Amino acid sequence: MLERLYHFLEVRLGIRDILEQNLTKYLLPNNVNIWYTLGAVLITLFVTQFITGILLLVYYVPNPAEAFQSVERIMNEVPYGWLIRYLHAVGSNVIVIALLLHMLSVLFMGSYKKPRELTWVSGFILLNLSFALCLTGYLLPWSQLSFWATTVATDAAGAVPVIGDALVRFLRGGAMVGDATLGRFFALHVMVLPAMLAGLVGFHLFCVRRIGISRPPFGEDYRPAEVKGYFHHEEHPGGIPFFPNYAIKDMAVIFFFLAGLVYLVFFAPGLFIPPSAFEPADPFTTPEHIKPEWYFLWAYQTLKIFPSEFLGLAVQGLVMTGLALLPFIDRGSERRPGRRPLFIACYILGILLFVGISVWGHYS
Amino acid sequence: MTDPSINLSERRTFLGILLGGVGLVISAAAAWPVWRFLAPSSGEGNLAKVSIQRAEVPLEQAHFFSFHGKPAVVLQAAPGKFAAFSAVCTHLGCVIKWVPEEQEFLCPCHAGRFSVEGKVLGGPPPEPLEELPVALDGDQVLVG
Amino acid sequence: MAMSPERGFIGVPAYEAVPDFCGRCHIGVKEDYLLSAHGQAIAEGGANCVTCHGNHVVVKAGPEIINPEDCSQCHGYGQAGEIKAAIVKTDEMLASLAENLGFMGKKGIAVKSMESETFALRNDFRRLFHSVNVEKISNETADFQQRGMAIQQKIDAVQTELDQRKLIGGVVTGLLVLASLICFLIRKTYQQEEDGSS
Ligand code: HEM
Ligand code: FES
Repeated sequence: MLERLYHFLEVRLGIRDILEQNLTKYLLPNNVNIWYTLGAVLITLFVTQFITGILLLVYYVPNPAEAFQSVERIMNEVPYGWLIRYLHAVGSNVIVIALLLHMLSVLFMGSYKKPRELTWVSGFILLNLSFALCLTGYLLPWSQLSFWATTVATDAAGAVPVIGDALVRFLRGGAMVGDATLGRFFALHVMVLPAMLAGLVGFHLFCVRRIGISRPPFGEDYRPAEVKGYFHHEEHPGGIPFFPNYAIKDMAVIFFFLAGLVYLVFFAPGLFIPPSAFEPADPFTTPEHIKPEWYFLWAYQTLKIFPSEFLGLAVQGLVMTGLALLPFIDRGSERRPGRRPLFIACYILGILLFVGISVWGHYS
Repeated sequence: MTDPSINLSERRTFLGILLGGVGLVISAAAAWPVWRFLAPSSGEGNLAKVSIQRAEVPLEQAHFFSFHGKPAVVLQAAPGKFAAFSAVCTHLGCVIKWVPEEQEFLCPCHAGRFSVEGKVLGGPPPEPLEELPVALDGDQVLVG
Repeated sequence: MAMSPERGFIGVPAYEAVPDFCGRCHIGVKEDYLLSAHGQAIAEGGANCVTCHGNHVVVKAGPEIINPEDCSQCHGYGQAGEIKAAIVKTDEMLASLAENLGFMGKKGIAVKSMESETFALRNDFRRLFHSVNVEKISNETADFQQRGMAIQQKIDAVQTELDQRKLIGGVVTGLLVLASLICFLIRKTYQQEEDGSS
């Protein structure tokens, strides 16, 4: 029966060929390293996020009068609701960690360079979409934390000259965070952003596959690949098959990340979900020490460091634009870290700055 | 150590079986909470009585309420005589209406008619309405 | 300036009027107090609210305000000591209930109904010992103990469940780590193959 179904599909779609081309005959560079598993980890984590998100949607009520209660019900009454919610909330943090690691590894190995600019740009947009998902999702439980973190975050847009106030109003759907804000954040979080993310992940993977995976710039016999003036798929003759040789390594790291996620969910959810997340939103009482999530601390702190918010915002915009367009700025073909001292110095300095400012933001 | 490749493939088979086993347990551990999360709560079928203010059921009137998650109706056909039924029509499951002028129930879907005792008076319903036990307690009507 | 009548300052209540003043909010306690030996004797200088609780520097009252120095200003400490002995344990228990619930609430457990139950219980208990009637207090304290225990049992049940979750979570984490390790070992078999062939 199954065999006949397979035969039916094989005759019409040639699936054996597709599978072979993408699995057993898809050869990766033989010095491929563990950092190349992070993309697969991200796909798994996003799939988990989609599933837990849809499950939460079954019981969540996107209405300021009931949102908090519905989340409280999920946490306390719905069987395993706490598990689903924690997986989703903690999962978003793990995704950010994986995203940053993926980006850092790609930077370190210089794989964003020509001809992989589109892979990089789509990846960078994916990073920002993920941040947007985190920000919009944060409001939905309508807790004190949600409400005030969103107030602070949307307020920052007010520093944009001329249109600042209008922008804040647009983001919030009104002068203050309120019913209208929840409505639009909900629509963004469950429909618009995930759809964009899914589409863009597709494009990202297409780019990766189409141009061929890059050869890690390490080892004696590494030479920068010659970049031609026409389309050329980078082959790796004598490389290792993606399946099963490398796929099993993907699996190993995926399981490792899932173990970390489950560990955090069961033993340290409080790391990401402070007590103010369990108090219903009160538009008339600002709680003390409202801080954004750890991955937004750098932005929060830069706004405070500079004498004017506008200046802070401008610097942030500059850094982000610079990163987005990096492959068009850093155009040399050399990818070996040892031969790119200036880049690596900036790289390390950048990481230290990010960590330093975040820590500062946390304690200030 | 004479032929390392045999050795390797044996080891791989063994590890593969092990991974399959662990994977199975993990899948079960993931599927169970999802199933429970989505399964309708089994506590719904509790046998608790539902109490209704007697004043809400005036003479010759019917009062609709939710009984263990399903629509039900209690009516006072004669002074002090209360009766309660499931309000779900036995034909295709529409919810019946009370017609005070006729002192009978009417199903708006296919015009099934039921008496104050729940008996079929006409139309397609094959069976009488499901009757629910009623007791009086002071100013409360207890159903269930 | 701040003490001007136009600004709402009504002056120091007369000694006998103090219970009425405090009782505007502490209604239940006032009722039991007025019926107590303290309240009945207020005209003869029986202790009023401020005698024990102080006036401006009102502190959160605990059993320590029943002590030999303060009580023996008016009478022997004997009975007061008995009362203290009778309420201390229950009072501590109710306090720890409230604390435990606050702690759980911070972890996302829905504790509101248990919290208001505890609040009401503490309130009733305070009323009870403001009657300063040793017999009544020792008779009824047991009941409070029991009602407190009932809440404690609910808390314990939640705690047991939380502990169970951790156990299961630990097992699942372990399984995932194991799966990861097995995958790495399988990867190693391929690695050896790759190294051998090149
Ligand atoms: C939704 C999030 C993302 C997913 C699901 C994803 C997925 C993947 C996958 C599966 C690969 C191929 C395997 C690998 O090298 O890991 C890959 C490669 C790559 N990704 Fe991402 N990625 C994401 C975000 C990003 C981000 C944020 C960046 C950088 C800003 C980025 C830049 C790249 C680049 C340059 C490559 C090519 C690596 C090479 O060919 O050596 N990706 N991505
Ligand atoms: S469903 Fe009631 S008559 Fe058909």
